[in-house]
Amino acid sequence: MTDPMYRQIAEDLRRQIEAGELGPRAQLRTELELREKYNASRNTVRDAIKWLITRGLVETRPGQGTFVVEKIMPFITNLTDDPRTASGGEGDTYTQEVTAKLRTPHSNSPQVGVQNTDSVMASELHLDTGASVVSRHQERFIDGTPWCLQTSFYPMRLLQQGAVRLLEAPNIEEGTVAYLRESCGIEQTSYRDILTVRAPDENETRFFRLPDDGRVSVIETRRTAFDEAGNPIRATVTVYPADRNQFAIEVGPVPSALPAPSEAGSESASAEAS
Amino acid sequence: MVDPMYRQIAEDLRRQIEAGELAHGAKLRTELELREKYNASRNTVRDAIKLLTTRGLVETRPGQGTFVVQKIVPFITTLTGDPGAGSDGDIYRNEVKATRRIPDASVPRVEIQQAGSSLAEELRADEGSTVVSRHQERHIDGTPWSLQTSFYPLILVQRGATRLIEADDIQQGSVEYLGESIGIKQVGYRDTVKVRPPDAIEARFFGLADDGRVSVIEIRRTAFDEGGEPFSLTVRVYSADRNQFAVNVGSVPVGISEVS
Repeated sequence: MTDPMYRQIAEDLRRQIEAGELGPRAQLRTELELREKYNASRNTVRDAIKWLITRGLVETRPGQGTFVVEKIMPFITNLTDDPRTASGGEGDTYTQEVTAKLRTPHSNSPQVGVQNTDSVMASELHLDTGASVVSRHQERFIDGTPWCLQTSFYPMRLLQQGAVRLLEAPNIEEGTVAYLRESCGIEQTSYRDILTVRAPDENETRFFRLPDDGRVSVIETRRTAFDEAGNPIRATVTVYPADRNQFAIEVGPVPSALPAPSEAGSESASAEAS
Repeated sequence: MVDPMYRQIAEDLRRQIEAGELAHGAKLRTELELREKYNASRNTVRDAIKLLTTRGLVETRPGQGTFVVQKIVPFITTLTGDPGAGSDGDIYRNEVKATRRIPDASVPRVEIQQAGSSLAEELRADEGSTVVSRHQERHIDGTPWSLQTSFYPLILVQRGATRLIEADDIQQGSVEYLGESIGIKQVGYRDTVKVRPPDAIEARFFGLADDGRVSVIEIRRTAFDEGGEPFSLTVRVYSADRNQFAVNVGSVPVGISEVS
């Protein structure tokens, strides 16, 4: 079966984009020129462009034309770092994790709150539904691009055990993993991540500046961290837009770096930079 | 500032869906009924439905109406585990059985091909060198679940792993088979996870709408032997509407690290 005409045109343009014949930000021929080149109707050409837009390859700017989308350099988050030395996603340690990759990170000050757990969060933290937890929410940027939204939840008992700075708004510069060790002797020895891919909500669409048609998904990671006794000490929910993030998982001894990174996407940062 | 009318309608419907007043699979009122209920124009009602469609909450079936999306019970795949314990084929079967669901994998489609530049780089082979690919379609409870292609350097076949070029499922799992036939031991692996729109083949296999709203998750696993050399690359593609993934690091408490 032959593909319909619009698909053939779209495939041809896609091939040109992927081969680099049409570079990032290059302007496509006008609709009229494309109609002539492919000997196709207006609707056929429009369907071909629409198909390319859906796949995130081109974008149409009103009054200007259609352009090849410039891909954001993907950022790779490693989900299998040593649980004892990771940052817990806050402070200097996080900054160093990202800076080591020659990119410039930025987080706003945490928005700190006390809230009641819903049933999912309560079961993750082994608390009763409705129990209070401290929440610390941050917006993160890398090189000025919105990168992820992260909220960590801590059981209130940690405050009574001495981790009083969890309730303060300034960043915990040494990272929360180190802070919990110093303030109340709690060692994070393991964690479990669950990854889900879903459509973005309103707030995420706005923050990440995603197209309003929902074609860019977000990746939600829910991390539950445990102490030596196996008690949950924190739950961290991080939301990443799929158009600029990738993840790495390393099990057993694997060569420390990807062989000769040929593209920018081979960088990595700690998951706790999440 | 008050939200525009279409957003208020969408919010009201979303609330009903999340509260379960409109169950999964339930049919929404017709456009005309919604116009009457909310005293709104046709375009306003259409914009509200469009927003809910974008958010993945409802779907419109031509000639039938608009329905609350039926969620498939997600299947959780654990990406971390003992690298020596077997292939992901085994892990897949065990995990599926542990959750009392019925797995099914197609007979592998085996091909011999030349490695392109990225495949060559991932396998640290020369560009243009010969590789064996084994492609399988996997279902759970009859639902299309994932597409899997494994690549092995042909040299492994020449060294004695001849079943790699046979079009039969390697029941014991390829990791165990490579150990037994030519003494290659998998000691580690690296997964790279990315999320992207489906291509035409994937959209057809998973039965996804052509609008690119449901993404696929692509996981590329490079396996390493004791010498730190890669000996296989497995690319698995999952549909995002029915899969979740787990990563366990450190001694995660028993009971939590199991498939939930």
